[in-house]
Amino acid sequence: MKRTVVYLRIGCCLLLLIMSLALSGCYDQREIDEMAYPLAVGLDVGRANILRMTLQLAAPLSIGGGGGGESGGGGGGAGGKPVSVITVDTPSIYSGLNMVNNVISKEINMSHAKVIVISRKLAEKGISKYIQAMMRGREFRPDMFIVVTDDPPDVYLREVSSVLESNPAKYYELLLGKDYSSYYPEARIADFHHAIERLDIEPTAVLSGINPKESVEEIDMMGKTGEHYLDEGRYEAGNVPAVSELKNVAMGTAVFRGGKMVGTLNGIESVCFQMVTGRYNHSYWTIPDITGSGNVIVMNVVQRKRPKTTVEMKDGKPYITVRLDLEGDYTSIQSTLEHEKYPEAIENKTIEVIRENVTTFLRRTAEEFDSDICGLGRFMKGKFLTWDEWEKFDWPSHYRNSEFNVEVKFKIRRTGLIIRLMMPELSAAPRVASGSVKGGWLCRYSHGPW
Amino acid sequence: MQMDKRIRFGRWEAIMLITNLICTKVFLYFNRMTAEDTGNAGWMMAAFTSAMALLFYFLVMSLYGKFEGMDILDIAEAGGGKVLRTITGFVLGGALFVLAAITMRKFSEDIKTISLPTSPLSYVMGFFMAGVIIAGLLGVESIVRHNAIVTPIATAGYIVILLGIMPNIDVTNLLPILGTGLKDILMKGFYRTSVFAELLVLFMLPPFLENPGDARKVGYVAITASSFFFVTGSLVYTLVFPYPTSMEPFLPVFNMARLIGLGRFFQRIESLFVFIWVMSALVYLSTVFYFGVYTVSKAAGLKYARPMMIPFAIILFSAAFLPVDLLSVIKIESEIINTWGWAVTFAFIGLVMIAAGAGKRAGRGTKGR
Amino acid sequence: MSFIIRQLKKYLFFEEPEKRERFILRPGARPADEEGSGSFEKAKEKKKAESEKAPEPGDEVKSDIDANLTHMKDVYSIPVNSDIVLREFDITYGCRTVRAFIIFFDGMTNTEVINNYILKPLMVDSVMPLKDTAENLEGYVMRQLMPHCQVNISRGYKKAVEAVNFGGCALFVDGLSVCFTADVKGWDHRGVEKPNNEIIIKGPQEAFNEVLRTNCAQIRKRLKDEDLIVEDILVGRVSRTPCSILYIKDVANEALVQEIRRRLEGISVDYMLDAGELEQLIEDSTVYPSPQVISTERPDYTAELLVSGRVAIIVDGSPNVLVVPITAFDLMHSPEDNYIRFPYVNLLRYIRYIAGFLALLLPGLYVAITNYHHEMIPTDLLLAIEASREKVPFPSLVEILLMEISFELIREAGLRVPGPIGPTLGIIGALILGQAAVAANIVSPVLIIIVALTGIGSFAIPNYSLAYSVRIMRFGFIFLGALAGFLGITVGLFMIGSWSTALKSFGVPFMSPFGPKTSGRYKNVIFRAPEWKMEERPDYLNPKKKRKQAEYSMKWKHGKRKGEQD
Repeated sequence: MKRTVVYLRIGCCLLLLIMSLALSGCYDQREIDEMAYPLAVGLDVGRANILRMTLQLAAPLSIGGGGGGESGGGGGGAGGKPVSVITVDTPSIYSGLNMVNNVISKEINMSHAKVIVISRKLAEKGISKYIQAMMRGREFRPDMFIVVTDDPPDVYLREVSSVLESNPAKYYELLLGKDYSSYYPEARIADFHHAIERLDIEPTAVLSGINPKESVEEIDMMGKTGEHYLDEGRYEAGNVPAVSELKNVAMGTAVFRGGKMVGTLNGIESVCFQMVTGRYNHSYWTIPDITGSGNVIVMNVVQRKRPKTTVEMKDGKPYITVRLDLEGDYTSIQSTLEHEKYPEAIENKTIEVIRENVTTFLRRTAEEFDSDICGLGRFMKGKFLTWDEWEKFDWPSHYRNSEFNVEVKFKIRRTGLIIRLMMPELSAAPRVASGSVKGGWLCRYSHGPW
Repeated sequence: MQMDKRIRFGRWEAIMLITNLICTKVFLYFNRMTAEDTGNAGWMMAAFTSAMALLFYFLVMSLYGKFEGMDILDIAEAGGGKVLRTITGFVLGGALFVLAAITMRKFSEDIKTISLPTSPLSYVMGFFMAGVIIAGLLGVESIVRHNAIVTPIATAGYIVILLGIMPNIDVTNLLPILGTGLKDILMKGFYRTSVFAELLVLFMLPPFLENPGDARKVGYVAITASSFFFVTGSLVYTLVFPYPTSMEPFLPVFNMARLIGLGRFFQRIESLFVFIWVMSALVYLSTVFYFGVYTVSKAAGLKYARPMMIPFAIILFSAAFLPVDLLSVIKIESEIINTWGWAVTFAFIGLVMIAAGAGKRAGRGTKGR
Repeated sequence: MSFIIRQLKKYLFFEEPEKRERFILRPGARPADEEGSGSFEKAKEKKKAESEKAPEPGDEVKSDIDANLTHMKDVYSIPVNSDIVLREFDITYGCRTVRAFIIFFDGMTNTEVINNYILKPLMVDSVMPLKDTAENLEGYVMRQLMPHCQVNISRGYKKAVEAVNFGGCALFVDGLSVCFTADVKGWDHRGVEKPNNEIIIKGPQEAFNEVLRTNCAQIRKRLKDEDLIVEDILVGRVSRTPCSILYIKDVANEALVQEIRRRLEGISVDYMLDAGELEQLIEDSTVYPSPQVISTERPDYTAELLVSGRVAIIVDGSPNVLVVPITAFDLMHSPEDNYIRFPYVNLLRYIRYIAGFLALLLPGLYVAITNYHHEMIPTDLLLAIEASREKVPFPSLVEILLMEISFELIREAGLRVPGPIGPTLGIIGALILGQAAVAANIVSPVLIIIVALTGIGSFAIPNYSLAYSVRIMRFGFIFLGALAGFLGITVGLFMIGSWSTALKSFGVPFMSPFGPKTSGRYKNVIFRAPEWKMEERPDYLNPKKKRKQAEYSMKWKHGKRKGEQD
């Protein structure tokens, strides 16, 4: 009996409490349809104010299908444009959000922003103050992608149109969080923020831009470099020979030192960058044929193990050894080469190509950018016992003097579905000694812009 | 409350209780604190701190031998009479109260920061208060059993976070191996033994235990289990957040959970984390609060603790508002509670036991067990 | 208002707590140190004493038949009461004629039996005594004149009246200060049928009916064990409803049986007609949402629970049998769990827990996420929800309450709608209502999925009463979710958890074996171990015998074959 009364009493108190809480209101309660969700944020140097901020807002009715439900079905095209873009000039990010709320009816919620697009001009002036502002805010996600473009972000974001997806958010996630192309790194704002603050690594961002080409003729106008092939990784975002409805291209890496951008890497350098950091997944490498015929061998190169890196200090200069452990499959052999007879030769050729590329890339980071984007300093840290010693050593000032030694291990593992090609010319083809290929390829091989 | 002879619980419940009490701070600030103290060698400090705590506990327990089955207030009374009992009770009760107030404030601030930014603090704290009051009224049995259920669930959630974050770790973050130096690890590690301050609840437990002799074992197991959480917590945290940045996050584990992203779907799960977090906070608060009130009432020789629950809860509620802002809460937490907590939990209790032992020998007539 | 102030005062000011009887089921109720121990012997003696007790003064049966006649007429308000039959006749034996009468209720008794085995021998066969029995008429009637198997002699009116009220027939004979009561029950009742609510695919298909002894027999025919005790207790001052406590003497904890006896004897009501009422009168907490007693209509399930050391209570007139004590996890078990193979049971159990989770929390979580935690929803889904909510005029809380209430409405209405239309109405109602509500932009389509899943989830909960409690708590969680998102829901869970851990069902902590921890947590609580692994009875029941299987329950696997060499 008494027990019941006790529970009744507890119940009464609970009810009272809940009622009083309910009366005081649900302060943070927001309906989903009372909010506007930007999918991308663009930051640029402003004219009317310090910062020009662009928000790409999702238009749910055209993305999520109409409210009626019956006709909503197919794709994003049904209700018009899936996004709406707003640009404001503002002193800072958060005051910009305030200003945007004057324009649009719904409250801005940044929790679904996928990407932050920064103009090259702003990036060169330094963006650490904006990055830390975003890291402090609870709505900005730490896994937002960070992209640098040559074009103004407002133009860039207006150009974004996702054809394959109804939802631009999915477009960003699939494009920038990819693991099937390695021509640009995966750059997330949390890592960027950490890298700004760290001594042993420098931040990077994805390089992206608008590819303005409207027709194939414009590709033709890019000119032709004779009969030899050009490596597909030599391009940067804006100059890719492609025509597409999709104007935005991600290709290459923006290199930062501290919070400031100091340069760019093209596609193939980005591949090297990821190989050295161990985040490389796989990509196709075009290797000149050892027969010297102008044909190529296409190799799907995979990184199975993380690279082993050691740093030695000799005469005040860091000697950095990077050991890459790669393997690959044939995907195409254009010539009639009996590849199974010369695996070593082909492997050596691949090794040479990769090593050359990686070494050049590393030298460039040290000499041209003076920015340890690969985080090679991390392997120096172990030589110190305490943090003070490490800080006193001042790695960033040493990095530019680094000497690089790249060792590549490469093994061909598989050959695809065809284990042995039986072309008619095969038997007639001249037997090539593995020695004869030397020297032939380097002169024809282009290393991109440098 | 007169000790109701019929309320008893087993060793497992006691272990879970103490472990949850000690480890709740892993969710809150422990990782950042170790980073602040010793840079990237926080895990070493955590290990050292745990070892020190085990040592201290061993020393205190070696004094406890002849008082087996008594709680610290009984011991104080046996040795120094009612005066010592009252002093001990008020010191310990006060310590628990401060812990409860600061933790409640901290948790409410956390929740406010991460999910209810525009709600007033009192609104958020009201929810915690409701939970604490109800648990306090329902009594120690319910609290202890709840601990036995919640702690394993919270542990599982915590391990999920640690596993989910695995793709983000970078082993070189541990270098330079000694962080800000051995001196920091040892000196600060010694003071940080205070993170085991909640162990003092254990000294109120023996009369409740099914087998009073278990108290000793409960302490050792709980300290070891907690050290597992402390070491893994700060180790993984350091591996994910490189040193200078690791001092930044206000809520280390929450920030870690934010980074979890396995594919396009399994991400943004940090709000789920609010569940295990609030759950273990509520259990923590209700336990500390209950034992605080229980200790005070027992020290004052009151027969019942239950009628004091609501008045004390109101005091707690008000006390939680005393610090002006979040930064002063953090300051109190790190510079007072987590620097001098050991003085109450180990030194003070040790002194009481020594005094009691001496008094007992002198008094001779006092009947112990 | 004054009520609230009074309540607040009770908390803020000191008040000496009332001493309350707290029953805790302790391990090993050994005869020496526990109050409940030896209770069986005590109960035995008590029963014996009761049956031999002399009637209270004023209640004795008189030897004068007229006095008896007047008394009985008085008791039964004859002739106002029309279904009572009082038949007067003469017993002629030897050379004497003695007046006698019988009294019984028409319709409750089998008149055939009364005619043939009571009236006929008394009126006809009595005239030819085989030997001289004039000395002892009482013995003569008892031993020779009533060829009926259940005849008792009672010396008080009260017992006679009790017997007549429960389908007996009382015989008063002039000159004897006793009366004879014969059990001639013969009312109409339902036969043993298939269970209606606890339907399973495999396993026995018999259910209890409304007759006490039939129900006892249903259990006894499954447990052919002389240690299965059926103790009767009458509950209700007026209705005098017979209840039976069933337990296995050498398994069930005596303290537990004693406690149940104590509770049943301690019920002071006029009428008690059904097990549902009894459940409310004996359970530990009235306000706690979930049931603390299993109420089942399956004899096989009851038998299984008895074997594990629990105690069953059968109420006459109720097809449901109460089984105590239980824990929260027992409520998620279905009788079928014992009859299907172990991998299937585990699958079903997971499904059930998921169902329970959905039924309890899904709407609350939906409200919490859509109102507070927008970042949790995958972007595509978020935009879809936003689009679908764009034209809905209500806040999502109102929206979900609307749908939940209509769902409960359909459920309640479906029960009332006569026979074959019922299920149709349910389906049509749900479908049409949902579809139309979406089309009319009153609710968003996502919400229909939520409500439907919740409804399905609550039907998948095996215990009917638990499903009720989940439905009630669900509304609480919706409000808490609307108040503070996950914080509110977690605080709600914490409160319910605290309450559950504080609760006991007949001395057994409701959340055992997890809080407090006891052994056997992985045998038959959330998971179910293979049949041969169910070696022990639940620890928290503290039964007299711990094991219920030999160490090697599949002896054929371990023993050596005859004639086999090492």
